[in-house]
Amino acid sequence: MSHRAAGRHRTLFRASARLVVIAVASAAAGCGGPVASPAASATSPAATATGPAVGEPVSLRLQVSLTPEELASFEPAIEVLDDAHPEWTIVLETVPQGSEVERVTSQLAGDDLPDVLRVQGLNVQQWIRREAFLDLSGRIPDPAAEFYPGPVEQFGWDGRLWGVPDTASPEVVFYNRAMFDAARLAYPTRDWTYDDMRAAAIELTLDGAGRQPDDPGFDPAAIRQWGWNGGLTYFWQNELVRALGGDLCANADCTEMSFTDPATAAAIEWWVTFVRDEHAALYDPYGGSQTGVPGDPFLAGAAAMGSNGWFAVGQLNAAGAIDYGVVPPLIGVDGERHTSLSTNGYVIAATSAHPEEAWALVKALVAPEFLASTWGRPGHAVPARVDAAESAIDAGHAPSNQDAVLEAMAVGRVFRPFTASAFAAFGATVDVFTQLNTGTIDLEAGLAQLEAAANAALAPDRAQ
Amino acid sequence: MFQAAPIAGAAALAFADWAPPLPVEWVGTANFEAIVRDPVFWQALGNTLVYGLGTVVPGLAIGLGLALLLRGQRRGGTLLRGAVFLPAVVSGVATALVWGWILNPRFGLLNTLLGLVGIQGPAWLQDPRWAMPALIVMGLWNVGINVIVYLAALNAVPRELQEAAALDGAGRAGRFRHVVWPALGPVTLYLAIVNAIGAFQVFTPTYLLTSGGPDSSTLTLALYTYQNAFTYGRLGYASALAIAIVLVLVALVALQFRLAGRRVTYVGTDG
Repeated sequence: MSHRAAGRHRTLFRASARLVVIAVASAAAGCGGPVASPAASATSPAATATGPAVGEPVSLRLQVSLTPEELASFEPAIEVLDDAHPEWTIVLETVPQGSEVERVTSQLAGDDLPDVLRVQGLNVQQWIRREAFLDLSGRIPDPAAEFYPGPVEQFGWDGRLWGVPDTASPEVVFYNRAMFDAARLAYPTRDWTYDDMRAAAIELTLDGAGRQPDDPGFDPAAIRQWGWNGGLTYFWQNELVRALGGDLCANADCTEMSFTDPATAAAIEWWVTFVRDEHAALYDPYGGSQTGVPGDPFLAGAAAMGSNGWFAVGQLNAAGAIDYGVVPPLIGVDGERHTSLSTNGYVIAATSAHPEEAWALVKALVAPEFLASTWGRPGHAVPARVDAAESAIDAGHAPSNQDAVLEAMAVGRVFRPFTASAFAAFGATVDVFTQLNTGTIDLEAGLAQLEAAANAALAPDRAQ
Repeated sequence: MFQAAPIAGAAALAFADWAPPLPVEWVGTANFEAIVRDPVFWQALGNTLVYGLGTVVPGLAIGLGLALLLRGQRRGGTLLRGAVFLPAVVSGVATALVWGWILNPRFGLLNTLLGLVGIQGPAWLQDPRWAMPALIVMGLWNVGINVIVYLAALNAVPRELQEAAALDGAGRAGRFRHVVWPALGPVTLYLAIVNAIGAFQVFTPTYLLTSGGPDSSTLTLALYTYQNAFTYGRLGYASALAIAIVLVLVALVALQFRLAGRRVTYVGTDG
């Protein structure tokens, strides 16, 4: 369908779009009566403005989704930025963590997208590929020189740049010093491989009676301390597979996945046996069915080591109960480090009435001084600009070996797949990972099932 | 207007593929064909039926039992009726969060109480075997509406019929079985239908507490519809799912009428 026809359809549906979304929400939410749609509730005076008079500041809606720690430093920074720029007035709209997809989908359906959005990298590609945002190609002369490569890649498509990354959170290896001391094991070092980690994790795993997995009478149903905070439990942990010589992605954007390729199957088996047979890692690391506490087992003090995002530092420091250290991502079988990178960045709505003012705002939000003063502290993500990241991470605060984070930023790869059907594929496969890790399905059958389910869900994206 | 227009819009969208801001593409019955082939839909339907069976039948029994107990309660009767009805007027979000705390495996009230008698409680909402039973117990928390409706219906049972049965030698059980229960038939059928509809719409506790997990054990039709619309961005498919829920409900209500309708006796309505 041509874009002109698309425009006609968009116009036709514009009036009823919100009502349709309300209807679906009503049916889903089980409400007999009409409900307020997220799109409607997000409407601000700025959204209905017909344009400022000459000399009046432009009102720009800026939508963000932040952790409480991030919001605490972001809000005052925005106020300062707003005061310094009389040409605009920023209307800050916050979205609860975890509700970004729902909010933006509703806003797109209701044609009510804010001017500028700070979005998560994993979510953004589905909207980029629908051309919901302005093409920002050429506005930054050399993105690859200014930003880390992973975050930039997250906002690119079709040879163009659709957003500007501001932060990223690489996964690094955290370890609990007290647990290592109790087991009389040496702390992890930057030279550790996955096999080093595995051997230590088995030593560090204890059941309720203090027995290790190799001890007679070890009770896997009563483990109180795991060596590693999670196995391979969903496909976005592909870096754990790549580190062991496999790759779940069979094409560049991972819209075709392979689980049965021999090298990939062997890498998956490494993780499955680690969880299923050696019990040194969890099959449900975040649900809490094994630890009794939903959330990260390392943060809960139930795991001796783990791969965590950098933002975990804030929670660890706030809790103060765990004496921890950090090392770079483990070394894979190819001698390289591999780690996942979650990113965030700014996009400008294609429907914004003030695109140039919105671009000026985005430039201010990703300026090195703004990033350095607002991000890069414990509990926050790391600035995606190379110059801001190095200046912002304060080595004077725990942990002292924060260079691990910068090293991980340089090698981190964004989660794949990140296309429109990625979440559907996740939903279709995540339970099979659990079945593999618990042994309720054998490896060969499970891998075939994963491959079929993932590729069926991703089929619409391959056709794009 | 505010009811019919969105419903009509959703019905139309069920025959389309729409991932805004892309244009709408009409796809005929493809969404419905995909639903039939979608194993997750069938799993969600199964979970929803289990939830419905687990909440509707026990909900009616508990509601009637409490109504019978409260009917003759003179001292503190109003207070007790208010206490029973209170959960029904509390926000579903607040109720879900309170239950989330009650069912917390390590710090929750329920497992703490079980621990006092030497029982190690399960992980409830994190355990695929216990998550749905836990949701069903949460669903029964709202039994107050059934109690109030049954109380009103019990007061409407003609006293002369009960007295005539007593004169014929019927005891309390006999009077209940042959007079009161048949007179409650229409109300029971009404409550069964309304509760079944409510069970098919269950959303808040699964959305807030389990997100359909663990292992999809609490994925209900309403939550799956929501996920398709607002997580997967498949508004056309989600609309088709919403229509499918309505069709399943219509079939279920028709079945209820067919199975129970003939046995229902309408007392005292002949004017």
